[in-house]
Amino acid sequence: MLRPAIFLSLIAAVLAVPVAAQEARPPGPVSTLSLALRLYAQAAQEGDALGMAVAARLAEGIRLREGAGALWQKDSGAFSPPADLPADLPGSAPVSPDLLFSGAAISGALLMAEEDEALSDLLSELPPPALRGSVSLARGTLPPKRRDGWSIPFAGQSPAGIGVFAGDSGEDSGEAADAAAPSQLWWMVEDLSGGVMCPLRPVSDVICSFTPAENVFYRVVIANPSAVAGDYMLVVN
Amino acid sequence: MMRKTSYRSKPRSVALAGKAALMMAVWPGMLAIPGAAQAQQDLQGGAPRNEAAAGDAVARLALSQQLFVQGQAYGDALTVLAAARLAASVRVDQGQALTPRSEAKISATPSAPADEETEALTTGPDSLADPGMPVLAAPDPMPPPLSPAEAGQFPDAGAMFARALALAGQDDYLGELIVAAQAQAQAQAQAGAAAAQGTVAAYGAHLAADQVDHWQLAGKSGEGVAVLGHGGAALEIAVRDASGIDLCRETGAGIFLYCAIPAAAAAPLVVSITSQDTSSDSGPDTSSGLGGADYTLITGAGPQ
Repeated sequence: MLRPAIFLSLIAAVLAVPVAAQEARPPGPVSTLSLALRLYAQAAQEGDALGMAVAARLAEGIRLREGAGALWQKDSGAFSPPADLPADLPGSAPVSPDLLFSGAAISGALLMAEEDEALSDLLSELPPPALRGSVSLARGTLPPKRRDGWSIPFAGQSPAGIGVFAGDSGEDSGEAADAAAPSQLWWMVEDLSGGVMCPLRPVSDVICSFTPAENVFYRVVIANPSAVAGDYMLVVN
Repeated sequence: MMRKTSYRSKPRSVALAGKAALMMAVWPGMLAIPGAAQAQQDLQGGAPRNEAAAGDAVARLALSQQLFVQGQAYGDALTVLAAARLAASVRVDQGQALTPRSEAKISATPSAPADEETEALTTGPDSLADPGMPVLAAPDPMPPPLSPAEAGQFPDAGAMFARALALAGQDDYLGELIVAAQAQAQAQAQAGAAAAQGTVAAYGAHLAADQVDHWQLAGKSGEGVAVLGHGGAALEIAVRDASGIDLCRETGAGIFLYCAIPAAAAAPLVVSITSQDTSSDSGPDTSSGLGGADYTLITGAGPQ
């Protein structure tokens, strides 16, 4: 019964979709990863198997280049939180990209879909997702009141995407694993003369994107104002 | 249809063993997500989960629009379907309460602010492009030729479902899933369930080349504000609170920004959107309104 309706809807859809929408440019891989994290957090919260599966597939389409780029330079030091650092900020996502990349996310989606046989069938037999670009990443663990600075080269006239997400180093970071209050890392991006490209923000699913005018280094500062150690994952396209 | 047959032919014992393995694999990660464990319990108990989601409707709608762009770009029906379901859960009102203050980005001649309001804007939110340069007031902004929704740049749930169906092509199985999801969304909307997930106000606007739009918002904590750029034009977007603190800033083409508002932010907030017309490098824009960018500002639907 549904097939005639689907066919008619299909015709209507093809006629209705405007050209402008069809010409949308694909977001960069860091943006895609951020999108996947937000979607997964929202979908898991609501028990939405389809949303969780879509999020996992978005992440699966991103190729990871583990280890910092050859030209990346790292320095570390003490961190003194600015006085105006907000004590709380809504909207940060607790999901780590490691969950999405691990395969557990799609397994979680299948588990959620178990009550819906049609959806379960569909999700279990989907083809591999489309490739959505590559990112370089570096992992780190920040003890309390410390900061890492990463100087990273970016190509001029090419969109730059930078994300710092909650990490899972795979190592026991001491108190962080067991603490009742998780660490809250913050990060920002500045040019080498100290000009702020993206202001200080909590590690969540929000990325920093811009297009450099020329080939230049930018500095990503990741800081831990909290009392417990925290892991991070720095991702750059 | 073959895949359904083959999947259903699995013995129940195999399915149960698979379920146990899945739970072992997934549980640690799921526990990290607030609400996920409760959602899982609801599913195990067979009870439908029908409460309003945490998180605000602005974030939900912004996520939907960004998912749609992603799905469109890769011809991915499933992603577009996910976008459509999210969009269907939020009621969108065409914003009427706010209008932007539009100014020219002229940096040739220093000039004193015309009034207190202008001073607040020039010393606060508009210092993005060049903090040392003033912003001069411009004549009335040009009205947008088409709203983003009219131009198809801010599709509603119906358009998204239709697009998902088109992308599903000959996959009848996926097509049936999309039609069923759309029917469910329509039924929920008729029952008023969409409002339970929140209502937002969307303001479509056209920003002429070398102009700055300032939107002043009440800025309730936890509500968030989103800006979606359309058509690939380059924009600078900044959100600052009344004390001049940068809450969010984004620069780029085809831009998307969602900004959560911290409790400590001082109201009102100002969202500044600047067109970055690359042709301006070769001289002043003389195109009389050509160029620039369309965008949509999304806020909570409460009084601003």
